[in-house]
Amino acid sequence: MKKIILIVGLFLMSTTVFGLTGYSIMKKNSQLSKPKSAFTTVKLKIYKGNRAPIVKKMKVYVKTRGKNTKSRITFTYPTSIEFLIWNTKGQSSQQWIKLSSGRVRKVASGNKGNSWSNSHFYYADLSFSGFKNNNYKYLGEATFRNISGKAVSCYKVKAVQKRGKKVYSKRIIFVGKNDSVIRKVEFFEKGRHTKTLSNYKIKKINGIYTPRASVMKMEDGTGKTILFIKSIKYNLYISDAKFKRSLF
Amino acid sequence: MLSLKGRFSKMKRIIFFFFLFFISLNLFSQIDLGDEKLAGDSSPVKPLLVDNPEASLWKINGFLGSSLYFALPPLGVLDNYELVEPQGRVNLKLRYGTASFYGKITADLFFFPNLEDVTYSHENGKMEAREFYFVAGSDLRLKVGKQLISWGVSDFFRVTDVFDQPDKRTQFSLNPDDQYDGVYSVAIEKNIAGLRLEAVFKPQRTEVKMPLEGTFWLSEYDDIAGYSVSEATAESPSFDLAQSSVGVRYGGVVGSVDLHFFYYNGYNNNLLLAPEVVGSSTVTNVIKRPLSWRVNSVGFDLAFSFGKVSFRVESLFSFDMPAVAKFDSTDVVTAVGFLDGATSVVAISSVKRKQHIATTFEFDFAVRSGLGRIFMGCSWETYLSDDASQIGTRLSDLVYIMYRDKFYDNRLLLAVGGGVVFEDDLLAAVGLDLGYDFLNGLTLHIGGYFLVGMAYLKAEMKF
Repeated sequence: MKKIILIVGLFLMSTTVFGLTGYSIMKKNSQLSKPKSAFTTVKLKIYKGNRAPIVKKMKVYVKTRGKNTKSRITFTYPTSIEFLIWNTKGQSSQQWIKLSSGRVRKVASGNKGNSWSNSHFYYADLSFSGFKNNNYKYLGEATFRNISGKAVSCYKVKAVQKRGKKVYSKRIIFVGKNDSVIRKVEFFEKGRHTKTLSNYKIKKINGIYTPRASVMKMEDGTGKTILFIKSIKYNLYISDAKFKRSLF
Repeated sequence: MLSLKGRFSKMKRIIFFFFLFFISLNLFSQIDLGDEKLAGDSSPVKPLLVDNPEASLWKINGFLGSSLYFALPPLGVLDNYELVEPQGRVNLKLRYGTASFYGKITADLFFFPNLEDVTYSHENGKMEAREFYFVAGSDLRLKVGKQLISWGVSDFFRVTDVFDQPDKRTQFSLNPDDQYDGVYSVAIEKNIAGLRLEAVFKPQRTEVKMPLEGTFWLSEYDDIAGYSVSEATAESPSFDLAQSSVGVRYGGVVGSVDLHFFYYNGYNNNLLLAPEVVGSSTVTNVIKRPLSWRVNSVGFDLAFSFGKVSFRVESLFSFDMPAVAKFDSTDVVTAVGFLDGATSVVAISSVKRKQHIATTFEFDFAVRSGLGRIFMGCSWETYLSDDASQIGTRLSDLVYIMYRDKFYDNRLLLAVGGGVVFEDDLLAAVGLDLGYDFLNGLTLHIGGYFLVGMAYLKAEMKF
């Protein structure tokens, strides 16, 4: 019995004495540098079945101030359409769409579990539910292979959302040991592993880790979406006018 | 005139040639599957103070389009299934400048090819500029030129769109882009207390858009004592300070609600028709002339979302809207009597000024996991001191519904909608549009507006 208690005790110590709790790992991740503003051009390649990929291109302006994040997304290919999105932490977002006639229509926020832009990303994948709004559990170590096949040592952390509407029953997050950058996320819906996000070509730009290619792959083999960040500029001065409803 | 069978055979050839070009564009536009080149990550160490972080000051887009319109039986004034208008079109939107100082042009070049059995009331080609303006400033902004000024929030039947009258006749048939012509105006905007104050001056009276006779929006509603009844031709707009309009609007996002209030002094844009007798002792008929008078109006619009439903409301109250009194056939007889040989015009109705209110209420919600959307709404207008001797406006008291959806990975497009006008005689219109989106900018559409009297084939290549 003593041996059992000792083994269990050592196991627990190995995950707590060295600070290796799920919470601490994710806290370190949440403390990584984040941009106050960004301008990026994005290309989406959506693969469904054996058909040629659907390609979409967009320009994205983002600005964060305190709890408020405002984004302006302009699809430039294949059709021109523009969105203005205001997010406030803990509140539902406000969205507007600019029609080709120049008119602006307020639209209800997309259901978090709905597909975003006909891709394999959900609306829920585009906004983090909040570091403090999850329960974390350290699951052990794992490796993630980057695009060149090189192994990256990671911690595995289970995250379960505490409050609000849950799209995922849980997420298993692979966080780089050396840099605390998220390399992979396995998404579970109603207990079933449905899709996996892998971040590749991670570059440190102005001290901000940036995955230049993210792949969301369906586990049932029905398809995948690759999101390329074609270009990015951080911490630009972007006028508030860019995000005003009246000037949209 | 060709037989129906012969006409369809000719149409096949026309359709083939019109669409061949676009199909070939699609076949040759293969998507690159190679490695993505990721560049441009040259972020500054210190924050940059730039007005326009994008590489180019130019923004150019638009589309190439072709369309064929056919007359359906209820149109009345044309032969059934007659090819009304084959059309080629180049739409170009050019914008040059930074966020706070730029110019914009939206122009259309139309081409109407010469085809047997198709005659036009216009030239074989024409060019139109819907927008041509300059913008300077951000917090205080000046916008001068021909511009789209679309006040109001609803998608259909905007009663508060006082400056640039949308083409209500074709709410179910036109591309939303085509419902506005743009108006020459000067607009000044300024942020005040977190909201936006906007003042607009339009030195021009815009023509009232008249529906085509025999269509849903203007049924043959009166047979006056055996005389022929027709609509007056629309007047061409002209610059005239005496016929200018001004408006002031204040509003923005208040909490989670979009809200605007406004005041307007200018010409009414609802379709009021006043009958007149025109003729001589030998030729006499009655025309219905659009009534566009200067009015004073106040209004508001608001839009908000509640759960997954978006609501939109807009309302316009006019203090002095013209009201046309009803007439009877004896008026016409009397009027004809005093024409007495000389060509002249005699009004056979009286016009009073009355308080008037117009409102549109609309909502929409997503279906099928957000792929489809259903729009529902109603629009009505009334005089506050209504009496039995008044003629109501023509586009009022209606309920409409529109369903838009996408299938097969957003490739197959469906739109079906319709409206019912609750008048003495119930009027209805139904529109159906089926499209295929190649997801590379090319879309093909086939559809029709039944009880309006038009069917079409369209191809459009966006760039």
